[in-house]
Amino acid sequence: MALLGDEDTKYLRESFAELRSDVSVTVVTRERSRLVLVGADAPPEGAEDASAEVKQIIDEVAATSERIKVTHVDAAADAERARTLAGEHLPAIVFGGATSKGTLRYFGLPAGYEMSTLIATLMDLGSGEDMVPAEIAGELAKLTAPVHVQVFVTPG
Amino acid sequence: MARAAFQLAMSSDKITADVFEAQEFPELAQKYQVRGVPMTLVNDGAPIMGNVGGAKLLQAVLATATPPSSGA
Repeated sequence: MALLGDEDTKYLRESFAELRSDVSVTVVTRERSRLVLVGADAPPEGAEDASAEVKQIIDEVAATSERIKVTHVDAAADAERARTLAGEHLPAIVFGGATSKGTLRYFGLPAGYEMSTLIATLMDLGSGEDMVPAEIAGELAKLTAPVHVQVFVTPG
Repeated sequence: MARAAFQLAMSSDKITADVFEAQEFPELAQKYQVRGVPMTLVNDGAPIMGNVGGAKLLQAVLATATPPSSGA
């Protein structure tokens, strides 16, 4: 069953028609194994449950625009790559774009209000425009050490 | 705040912006004592509560480049 309705899909197609450059979306999840391995660590509760929905919603969103390029990484099959991309937390959505410089990651299922954050981020990444004025870009260029911004949200 | 964080990360290769759905990561929510959302942390510093806008987040990010006061 589709997570996006016909109206949602129509809205996204119209919105994403404005994308001027490709946007990359890497979805890092853990496939649910049908085997139970004695002694193996179980994936965190909750993260496992959301993985399938995260994959589905991203695939449905990406299907509305050829500009959105999705890659799936299964942590069970490629643990090292998954760790490099997402660290210790799954499911993760990692965003990239032609002009994007830093690291952008969403952990969990973007539902409710956060769905609009997902859409806005895709629009920003594919806009081909600078996200901050030149003056602020100049200030940000003075950063010499990594800065880690963490935002905690909840579906609204 | 999530979009503002992402926009800053798009603008600097020094910035990593991680957005967490708090209910799905209770161990992190507990670690950082998340009692309301959105809650934003910059380098594990004092939490920024609410949708206070990108300017305040920018200020906090730029402040990381300021050497700590000597206390004088």
